[in-house]
Amino acid sequence: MYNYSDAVAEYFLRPPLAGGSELRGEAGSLARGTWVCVSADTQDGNLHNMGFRAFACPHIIAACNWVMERLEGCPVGALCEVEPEALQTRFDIPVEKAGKLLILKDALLACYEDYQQRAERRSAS
Amino acid sequence: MTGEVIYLDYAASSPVDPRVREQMDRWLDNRSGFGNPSSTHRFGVRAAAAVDEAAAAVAALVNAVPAGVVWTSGATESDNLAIIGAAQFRRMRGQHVVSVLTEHKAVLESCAYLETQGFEVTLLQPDESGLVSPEEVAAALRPDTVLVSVMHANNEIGVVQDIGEIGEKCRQHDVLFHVDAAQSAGKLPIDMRAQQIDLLSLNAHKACGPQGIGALVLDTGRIRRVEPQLFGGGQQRGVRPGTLPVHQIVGMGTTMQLLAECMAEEVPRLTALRERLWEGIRSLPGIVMNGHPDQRLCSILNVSVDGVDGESLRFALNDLAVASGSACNSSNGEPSYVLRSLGRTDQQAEASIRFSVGRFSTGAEVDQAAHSFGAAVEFLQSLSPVSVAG
Repeated sequence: MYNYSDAVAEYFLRPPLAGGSELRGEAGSLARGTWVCVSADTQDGNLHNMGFRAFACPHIIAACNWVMERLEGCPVGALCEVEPEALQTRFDIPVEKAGKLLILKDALLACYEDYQQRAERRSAS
Repeated sequence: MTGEVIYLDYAASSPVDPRVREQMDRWLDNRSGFGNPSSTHRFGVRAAAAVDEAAAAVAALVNAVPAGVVWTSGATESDNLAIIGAAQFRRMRGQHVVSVLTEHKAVLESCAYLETQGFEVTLLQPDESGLVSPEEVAAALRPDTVLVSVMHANNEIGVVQDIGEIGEKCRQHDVLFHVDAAQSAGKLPIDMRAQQIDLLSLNAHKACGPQGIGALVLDTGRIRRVEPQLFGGGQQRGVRPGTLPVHQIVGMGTTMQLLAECMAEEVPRLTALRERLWEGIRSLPGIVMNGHPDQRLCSILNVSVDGVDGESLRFALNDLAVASGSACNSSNGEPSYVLRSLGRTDQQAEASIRFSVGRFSTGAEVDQAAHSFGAAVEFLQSLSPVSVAG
């Protein structure tokens, strides 16, 4: 159906990243055809053990792998800074799949929200 | 992900047998033969004799008479001509046609066209294994039914319908019976007289013959002609005019002759390859075979996998030439309507793969395909958040 770029082929085949157990965020569903779950640990406010699970097309799986690789070691706030448009360009993702990238974005935001809620609970206690 | 691609898509098209090509070459080389079979000079007479010989080979395979063979461009045209042409030819008797939801689009869209021409069409729902019973077909017949069309073996899942029983029901009600045998020729016995088939669609390219040639075989004792859908030239008694492509017809005749000669040996071999493939993948978590487990074609295995995205599965299988649900559906990206009719979910229908073996498939290829498929499924399931029962 699609002509996949070399970048998609390269990042699609990366071995699964198990991810940490401290933070978790997910978006989408099986019924929607795309489901992304992001997980990570933190250390001194930075992201570690970035990982994901995805029921998704090759473009999104490749984008997930690329994002996890880039976020490793970044401040937790970087979870909110991933730009779907940049991913679309990098992986030559067809315009009709742009909505699927938003699911990845939502999963990352949910992960950040999880971090904030944990931080609030810690400060409250 | 590099190296040779293993071809297991014979149900879509197949490599031409060298013996077929050799015969075709004789009619592509001006020194050995060319000519219009309608011409009355020596070249034409020789060409006509070659066409007659090919018609005899086609007729012999399905127990028909050579005069009943109408050459077409393939099974799609044969289906169109059979359904539209026969319904229009019998229009004075009634305007009701019966078929099945899981037929090839060449049949379904011909039926849809008839509806625009004032016909009524009843499409039967098969059971979850893909079968429709002869009794259900009989129950759908009405006094104004003129035609029933049921495919012999389904092109996606390989399920084999009981066409002998269905033919008998149709004959009891004096209703014409059309069978699309594009997948089954040479893999299942076809006897138009015994199975009471009035119109039969065939092609060559799914049986190691050339693309672009097919035949509609008529039981001339039951229906002498159908209304043409092409006009001009008068060839083939006006039923399907146009200059006959001698090299392709010779190719199809040789293809059918080889099917007849090889069937006894080839069917058990293909069955063994299909079973070997299934044994190699059946233990994968979340895998399910589509279609009836026993009543199916020797060459087709269709499976769905839980928990993986269909597009990713196809992408991960790039060392295999296989079909996703249906080659015909592969171009539109929609979940297979056949698998949806059988009750599969959209996810299962999208994550379905049709393997089809053929004359040049080997055990080593099947083993490698099972290995590649297993590795792809395990990889994607390990990535997936969906829980899959083991």
